[in-house]
Amino acid sequence: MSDVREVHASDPWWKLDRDSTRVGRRVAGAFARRDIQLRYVQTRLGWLWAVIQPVALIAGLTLVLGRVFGLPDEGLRQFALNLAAALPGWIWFQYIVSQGAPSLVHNQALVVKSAFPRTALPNAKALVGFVDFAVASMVVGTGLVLLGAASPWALVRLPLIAVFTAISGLGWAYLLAAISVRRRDVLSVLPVALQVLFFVSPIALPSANFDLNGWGLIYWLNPAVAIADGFRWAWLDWSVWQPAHALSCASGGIIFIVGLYSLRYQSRRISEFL
Amino acid sequence: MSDVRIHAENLGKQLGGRWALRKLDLSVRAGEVVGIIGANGAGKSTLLKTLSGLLHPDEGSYRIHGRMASLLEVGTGFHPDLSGRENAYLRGALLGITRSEIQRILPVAAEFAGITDRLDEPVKYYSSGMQVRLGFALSAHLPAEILLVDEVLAVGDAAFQAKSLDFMESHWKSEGRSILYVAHQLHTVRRICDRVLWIEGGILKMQGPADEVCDAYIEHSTAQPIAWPSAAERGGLGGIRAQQLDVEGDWTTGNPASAQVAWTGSVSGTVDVRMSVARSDGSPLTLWSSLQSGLEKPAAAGSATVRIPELALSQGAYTLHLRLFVDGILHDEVRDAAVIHVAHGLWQGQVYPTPRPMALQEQHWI
Repeated sequence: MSDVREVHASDPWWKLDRDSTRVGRRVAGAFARRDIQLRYVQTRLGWLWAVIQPVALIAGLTLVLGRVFGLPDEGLRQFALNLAAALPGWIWFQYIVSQGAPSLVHNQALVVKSAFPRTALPNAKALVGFVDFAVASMVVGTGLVLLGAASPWALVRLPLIAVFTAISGLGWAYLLAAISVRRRDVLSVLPVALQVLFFVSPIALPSANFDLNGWGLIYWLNPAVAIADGFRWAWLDWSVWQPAHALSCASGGIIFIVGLYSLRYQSRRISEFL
Repeated sequence: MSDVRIHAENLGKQLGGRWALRKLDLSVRAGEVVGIIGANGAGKSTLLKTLSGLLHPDEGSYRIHGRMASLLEVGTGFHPDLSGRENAYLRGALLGITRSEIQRILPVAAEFAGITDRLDEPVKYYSSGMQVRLGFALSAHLPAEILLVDEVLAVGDAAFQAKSLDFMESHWKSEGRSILYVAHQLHTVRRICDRVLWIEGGILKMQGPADEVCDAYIEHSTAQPIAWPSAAERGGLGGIRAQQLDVEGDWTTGNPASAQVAWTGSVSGTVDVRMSVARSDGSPLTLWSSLQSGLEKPAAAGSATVRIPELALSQGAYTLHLRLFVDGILHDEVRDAAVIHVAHGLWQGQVYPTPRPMALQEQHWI
């Protein structure tokens, strides 16, 4: 017989069998496919939204904030470049967290009746978000090349930062999904929290030079700092790195591990609680 | 041991601080159909959920050899905006089955469900019956060696239920698939199961050949006094609620019999007291209705008595399901409201040759 599954009451909760990771990949693929198909079915503009959203945000923010800060033309151009480089990555991160966190609760009927690996649902959202990210990046990349601002290193550096974006986004999505099984409140707070995060993260402007204490410490614990500066590094060769950036990177990695194991711990209980 | 598909030892699961399942040993071989019976909350679903990996056992262990498909999810989990075909791929993925394998079984499954020409329509345009049929057909044709089936045959129309049962008998068994089948309808258990486990209070009470265990189960469950669910747990509008059903007295085949229903509440209209007479396994045999017999009684608190001049039921145990209607609207429903034990007697002057509980019928042969 090909498949054998053996379960003991004493199995530790963090144990993972190879079988379930295979199933997990299939489920994530199938769900991502479903979401992508539904987008075609339900929206008139389909993929155009992946282009319209970042372009509109870049144009809008540049005009409004540029006017507020009273930037000269050269400053306005630099502002737009910084924003354009970081925005697709931020939108992807935000999509993974905002869509991945409620994915267990939204698919409750399936989750309580089918024992597929729970990480598959947030993973599917990350895949869907990646497609949008890829489209937006191509638009932004074309613009940067035309403006002569694109770094020759972009193609090498982009995958690195993209992987980091996925990891830190999924970490938060896993963690919040695990909590949402018992406490739905986190899902109500999430949209507001992400909105606030947008304004305290260096999306439009490169990171500020904060000290590593008090509010500064909290600022540097935000993985979005590394994501935004990282994409500027990849696209624009921006390189005002500080030691504190390491903290931002580490927090993304740690939240991934914490989230992964929180969700795995909660997996055994999901059918009892949902 | 090589052909053992499911092997569980000392399996136990605690839910809400209570042992929902305890010290259960189970072994299912290839090609074997094993039924699980027991009252609601006895631990049947907990067992299936544990074996399917939804719940982690608190004691003991189990081993599954082969791919396992679960029919717990028949008729649920379809995405309304996607076509039947896309939903089939999605369901396959949940069980670790590839698109190409689904593509292979889909024509057969769609044919079985009778929806071949509508497979590419969004599921929201299917009737609920079509969704259930597709759900069953898909699960039934999945390339899995082990199937966990929970009450699927309680859904769908009668013709499809019969077709499904036939399919389970003719295909699954002959293909050497192993089935763990949970059901309340004992007649399907008797028909398709080789072996039956009776679980009560989370503990295995009896196991053996299907007829033996089913008979013992029926005897046991009808011997218990019946506690009615509280009014809040019952169906219907609740304008009037049944208070009691009195079945004291003589119940003998061919003899007069009577039962009295009392109810409380106040609502205007005409009451129809209906009692459906069923076998202990739930399959209904006949209906007694006050309105049909010509009694037009106001629905305000009161009572009604049904008198049967010649009891047309053969020897055995029957359950009565009580429902109160006012002007055609259901106000109260008590399933298993009472059990009657019909003693042996002559029907139309003859001994009636049936070994099972049955409704008899006055008849003339020429």
